[in-house]
Amino acid sequence: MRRMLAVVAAVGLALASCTTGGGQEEAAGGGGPRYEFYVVEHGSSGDPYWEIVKKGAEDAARLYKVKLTWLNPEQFSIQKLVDLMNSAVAANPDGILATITDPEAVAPPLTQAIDQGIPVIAIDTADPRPFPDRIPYLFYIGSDEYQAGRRAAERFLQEGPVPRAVCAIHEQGNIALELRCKGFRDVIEDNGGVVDNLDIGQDPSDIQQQEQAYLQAHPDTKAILTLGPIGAIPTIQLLEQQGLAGQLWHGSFDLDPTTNQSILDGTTLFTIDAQPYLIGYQGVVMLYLYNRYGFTVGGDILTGPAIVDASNVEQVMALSEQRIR
Amino acid sequence: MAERPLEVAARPGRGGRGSIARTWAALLRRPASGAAVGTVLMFVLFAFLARPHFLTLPSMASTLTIAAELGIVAMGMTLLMIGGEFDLSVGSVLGVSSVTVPWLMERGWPAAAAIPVAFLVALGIGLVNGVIVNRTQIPSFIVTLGGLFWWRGVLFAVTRGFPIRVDQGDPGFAPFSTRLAFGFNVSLFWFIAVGFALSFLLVRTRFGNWVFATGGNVRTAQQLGIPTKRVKLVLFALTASMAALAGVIQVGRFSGVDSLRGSGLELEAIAAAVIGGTRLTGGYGSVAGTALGCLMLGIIQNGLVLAGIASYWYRAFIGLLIVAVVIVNQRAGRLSPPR
Repeated sequence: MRRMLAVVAAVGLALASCTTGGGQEEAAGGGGPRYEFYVVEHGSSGDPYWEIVKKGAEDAARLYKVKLTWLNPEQFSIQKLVDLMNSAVAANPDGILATITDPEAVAPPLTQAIDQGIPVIAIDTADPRPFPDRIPYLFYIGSDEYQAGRRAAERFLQEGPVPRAVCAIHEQGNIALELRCKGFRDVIEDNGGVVDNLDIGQDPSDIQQQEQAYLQAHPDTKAILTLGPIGAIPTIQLLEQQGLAGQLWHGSFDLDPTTNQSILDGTTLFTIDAQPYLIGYQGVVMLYLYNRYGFTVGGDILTGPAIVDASNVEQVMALSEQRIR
Repeated sequence: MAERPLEVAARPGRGGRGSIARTWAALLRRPASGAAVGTVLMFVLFAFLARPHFLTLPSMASTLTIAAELGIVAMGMTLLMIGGEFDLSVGSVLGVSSVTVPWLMERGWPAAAAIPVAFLVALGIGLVNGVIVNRTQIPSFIVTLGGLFWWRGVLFAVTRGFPIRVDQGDPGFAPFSTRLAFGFNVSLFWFIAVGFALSFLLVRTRFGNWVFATGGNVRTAQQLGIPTKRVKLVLFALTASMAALAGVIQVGRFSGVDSLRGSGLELEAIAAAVIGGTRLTGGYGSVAGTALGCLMLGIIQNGLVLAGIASYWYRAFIGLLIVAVVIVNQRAGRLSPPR
């Protein structure tokens, strides 16, 4: 038992140093109050897209002297997301940025937060329901996923006809991804093509095998749309290994060094940028301004979709290396 | 190996002969007491680290909600583990059994009629697991690993990736998922009820003794005339049914089922059981220990958030805890006098 006490004490000390390290520096400069914000989002740990949102939020937090606590399930899970939200609300912070990944599931904790007077801003994924049903968060900061899917399809069709295309989903059950595929399919089908959704999972070699199997079964596939770096990176490798670059068009979502380079090389046609840095940065700034001066805005803040292709990729790449785009 | 059956024979409650004092002494010697000390330590640690938010009702509600849903599954798993088997498919079974509720409700069934079907589905899956393990002698680790992938695939096929929704207002969910004041959930009462029921089954009935004997040394148990195959069959069915109960609770709480519901649950349930002192080798463990293990996981998960510590530390912390607890249990086991 003494051993167990020792272990617990050691871990406790380690944790105590984690918390005080970030928490004790006093607000310098402006002399305003030091607010505490929580971010609760659904992305798996290590997703490059969320690293950029986080960088934006952390940059703003440093500038505005905000204490930021970042929460996400290690692997996509609605249940864990809701449990984390419950705990975040119990911490009674000065503001919460939350993804409305599953509107009905996240409604109880977020509604409770709002009732408690905690300002809540939706980020990345909005509540799609109209006014009376919508969770009464202040507003939404992020991209419009359905429109983004449509833009992707339109960009492919600029190059020529698409008789068959794949929408490769790496997080089954994530409504945002399903909406991208739906927008994509609606436009391709209106133009006489077929779209299959492919559940590729998150393991790079699985992703390549699944895609390869699909391509063998459907040699008439003209375009493949991945929905983020998790799907894009193995897909780009596959296209390069198989010498398919340029024949099988690849479009993706979000920016990361591999995708950017691939656009430069001509393997990937384009990627759709939700400008995630802006989501994190603005989220923190808007919560700060709301707390400090009561500011809000007249509607949702749309940070995307923006297309990055050969025409502007070099401009974007320098910033991408700094995790800003 | 040889003393295991003797250990079983000496267990209190067999035939109700043990006095209260002897039962109490035996309880103290059990690993659950180590888990109890650990739980208190964690509680104090986070009451300090996450002050002043940890010692509030919403925080307790958040902790207990996490512990309750995990606990219902983990306590079922504990009996199975004591019986010498695993069920890695509980997470997928939770998903696939609970999805029958919204699926049937979309077709006009009321929740009160759809919920029993979810239990029947789980019961069926549990029996299939048990029959395959009994007939083929393939380790349950492999059989239920197959189940994990198969039923998850079925769930993807049924949901097509989109969550299936239910009307939260259906009175059929009231006994399972009512949200009480301060964010407490009615699942807490299920956690307590299931805990007492399974604990009673394990230490106060003949079946409970059979479970210990089957997991301790299956050959000796068979020689003693214990129907070990039937014991395992019942345990697999029980474990799957507990997964369905947690699943139905979650259908009400999240008003639907998504295709990833329950994934990863199997390892958390095993972790909770191990932290609670249940041995991976079978024949040893307790429901109370597992319940405390779940409580500890809930305290840590909630406490880290309230202390403002990034959530990825949760996994790291659990890893430390599992190894630390097992080391302590092992040493304590050696120190305690042989019977």
